[in-house]
Amino acid sequence: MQTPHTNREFLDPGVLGRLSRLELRARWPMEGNIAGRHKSPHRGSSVEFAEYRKYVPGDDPRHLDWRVYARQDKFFIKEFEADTNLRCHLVLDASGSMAFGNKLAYAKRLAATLGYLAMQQGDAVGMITCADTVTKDIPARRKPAHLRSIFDALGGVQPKGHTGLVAALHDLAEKIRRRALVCVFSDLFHNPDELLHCFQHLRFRKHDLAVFHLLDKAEIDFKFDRPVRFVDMENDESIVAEPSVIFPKYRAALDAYLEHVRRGCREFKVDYQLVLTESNYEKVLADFLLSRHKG
Amino acid sequence: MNFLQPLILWGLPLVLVPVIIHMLNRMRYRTVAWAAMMFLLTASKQATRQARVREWLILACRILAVLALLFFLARPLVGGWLGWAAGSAPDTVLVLLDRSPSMEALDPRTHQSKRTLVLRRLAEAAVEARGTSRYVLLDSATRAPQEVASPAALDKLSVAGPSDAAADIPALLDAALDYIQNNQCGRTEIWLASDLQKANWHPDSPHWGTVRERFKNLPQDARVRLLGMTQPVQDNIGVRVTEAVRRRTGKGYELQITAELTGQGAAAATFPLTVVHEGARSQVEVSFGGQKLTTQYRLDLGPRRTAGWGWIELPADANPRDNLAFFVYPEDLHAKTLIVTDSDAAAPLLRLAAAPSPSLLNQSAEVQNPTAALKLDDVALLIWQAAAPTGSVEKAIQDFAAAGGVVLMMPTGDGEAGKFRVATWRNADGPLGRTQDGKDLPIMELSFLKRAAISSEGSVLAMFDDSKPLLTKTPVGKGAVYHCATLPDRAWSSLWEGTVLVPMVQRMVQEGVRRLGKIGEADVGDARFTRGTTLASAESAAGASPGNLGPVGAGILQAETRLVALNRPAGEDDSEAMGEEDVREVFGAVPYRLFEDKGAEQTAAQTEMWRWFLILMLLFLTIEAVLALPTKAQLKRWDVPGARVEFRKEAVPGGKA
Repeated sequence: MQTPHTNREFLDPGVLGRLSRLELRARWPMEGNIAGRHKSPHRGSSVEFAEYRKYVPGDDPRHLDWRVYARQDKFFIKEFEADTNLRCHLVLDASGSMAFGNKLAYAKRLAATLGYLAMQQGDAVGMITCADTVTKDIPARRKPAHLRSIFDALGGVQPKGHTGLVAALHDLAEKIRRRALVCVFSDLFHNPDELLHCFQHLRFRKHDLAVFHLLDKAEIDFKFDRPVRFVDMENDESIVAEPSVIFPKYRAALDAYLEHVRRGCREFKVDYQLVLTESNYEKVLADFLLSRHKG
Repeated sequence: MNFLQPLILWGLPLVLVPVIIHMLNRMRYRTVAWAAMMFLLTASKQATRQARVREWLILACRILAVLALLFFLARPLVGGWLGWAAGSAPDTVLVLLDRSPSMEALDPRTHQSKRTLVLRRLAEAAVEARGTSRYVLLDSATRAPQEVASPAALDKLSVAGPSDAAADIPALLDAALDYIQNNQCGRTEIWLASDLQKANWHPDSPHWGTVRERFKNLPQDARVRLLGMTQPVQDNIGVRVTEAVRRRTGKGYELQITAELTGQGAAAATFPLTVVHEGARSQVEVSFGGQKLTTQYRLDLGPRRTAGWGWIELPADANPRDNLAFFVYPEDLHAKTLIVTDSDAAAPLLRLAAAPSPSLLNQSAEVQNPTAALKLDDVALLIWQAAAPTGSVEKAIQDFAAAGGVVLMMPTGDGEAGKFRVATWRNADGPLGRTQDGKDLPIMELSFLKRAAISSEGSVLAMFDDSKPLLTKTPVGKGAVYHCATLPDRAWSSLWEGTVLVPMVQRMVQEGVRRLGKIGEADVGDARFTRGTTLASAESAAGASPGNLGPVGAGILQAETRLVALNRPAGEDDSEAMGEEDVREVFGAVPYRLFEDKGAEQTAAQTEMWRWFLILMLLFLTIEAVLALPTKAQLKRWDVPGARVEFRKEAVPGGKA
């Protein structure tokens, strides 16, 4: 029997309190099983008028609009938008590369805070952590007690191995049948074409996909003044290089990669956030939530 | 290249310091766990050749900067005369000094002669050498070795003074090799100082082969260091008397002096030419064009019949040694002409031309058959109009010409018929020169009906309009052989009229009669004329006592009953110098180093050589600094478009913004 992790350092009550005033909204209609705050593709019983349609036998006569019948002598059903809850799947990359700097800790903060906010507004929250393979798979539930399981799982995540994010996202896209919000927290150090392919897969399945691309400032600045033996954090391969010589090419490759990912995300309508771990995560989340309000 | 501080060169391995630092720097890497390996691998693969070349260039600049620093500290002396002596001193230094008149040319800046400058350089080089070498001087005029106690005293030695004798450089080297062999010198250096005048170096002489062979066979190490004083001479005019002849006039005699002026970098000018005849001075203005001028001067001798002497003097210029030309002229001699012919047609005319007035001109002419025995002892001119001589006759004629006699070869047989005219002829001097009153001989009025081909390759004095020669001159020893293409015969030409024939033959007679006089002309250094009383010299020209000419001075020498004019050799007026290629060719495998001193400016620059290395070092350091500067890409700051984040000075992940 596993000992539950009680470490909750990734939670800041102050941040949770301030951010709880903001709503986590889906950008696309969600399919929930109960009434909630998010648009549904189906007609429902909210106060927001949707449309009229002709009455067909079998329709609930309570929805008939009698005023229209009085004017036109025809039966019309008055339909309203349905509000539903959403399923939020948090996908946390726990590969070895996330151990660089404080990327994993930062990802935990983002995931825990988002999970808390979703649960607080009645949405179901689930979580997947992946390294070589999927290491944790917590299904989405909306019971507040479920949040504890997620926090326990987050507290126990240790970075190791290769990035299995692409396979995990493909699996997730196939596994969750109803439309859901999928939030990915990763440094995305993977082939960008394969990454974009799995993003496309998720979007094809009508999921609302938000990607938090985490980078450490040291990975961009590349400030070294003497030859360095770089050891890969995922497979222990190493390379000795003169930083001043390879920096221009390194930076060019990084820039090209970022541009590729950014352009792909724009194409597939993925909510892409490039986040430096030096930055304030509260502001990152606040901007993220507000941008969703604006649609 | 030599160095004043050669010990500094032991520090040359220090050039490896940048390499070692570079290698250590590469080995002294630290290990960093890195996440973004995918970009690093891409960048490493793309680490371009340019970046590596840049790295190597930086390393090369650092090495070269250290090298330049070492050379700067070692004080290099490149190519300089001083630099020669900075190595280890040899056992013996043979100083070979070219004392030829051309070495007296003055440097326009220092106003010192090349010879003086050379002696100073040699003395400085010897002082710089600081060795215990033995110094032996061999000068080109005497070629006698003389040990020198102190090189600083070189310029005080009389054997290092000016001379009018030509230098024979291969012979001088031969004398040096004799000295090396006879005195069992150890490691020897030959310091040869010369102006590289080709006339003194005789590059085509077979003597060089002997010199090279002797060098090769030397048991000890010997090398030649050659200081070429090749700075061009400016504003110099040399004078030479080409002819001093006695002529009979109505009242008595006159002396006709023909002088040749040769300019070296001289501008056109008018200056006085001083003629000194046995102490009596007279002057004439000469307009000189800058290149070459042949001028004539006449002096009335009255009834005087004896031989005489004198000199021609130019004003002071860049080389005082070629401003004097001494001459002698013979007494009134009986001029006999021998005409050898088998034809009766031309003989009377030739006889008349050779002795038109036997009693008045003290001349006679004899005609004889080719078969008769030749007696040429008292003959001034031999006119040969018969089949080409062979055997002993030919030999006798050659000897006659070599001793100063003049031979006129005239055609025989049928010849080529036609109508010919003279196109050009040499009217400055010689048999067809102008008359005393400056008029040309009427050569253009001559008509030619027949002519014979001239096989001789002498200089052409007159030429037909189809470029075939009419008269040529071939110098043989002290005399000359003339070839004429036609005959004074009505069937051949109008030469029989005498207007050209008589003066032409008379001048040849005068040219040949000098042989019979008790006078002589020789180059300074001629072994036949080393003893006698000095009547005139460069010193007497300057107003001092003539002194003793010895074997090295020009002047007038009375040797027993003969008067001899000793002048600098004709080659001294030829300014053509040996090029580097010529020097390389004559020395062949002989180890030598040539330094050409082209003037005072260059000498000064040589002492500044170390500054170039300082400049080079700074240049390399600057290039290194420029190459080591970070590129634009390296200077690029954090700028990732789309990053919607803000930074704080002290970023605390998770903290408040």
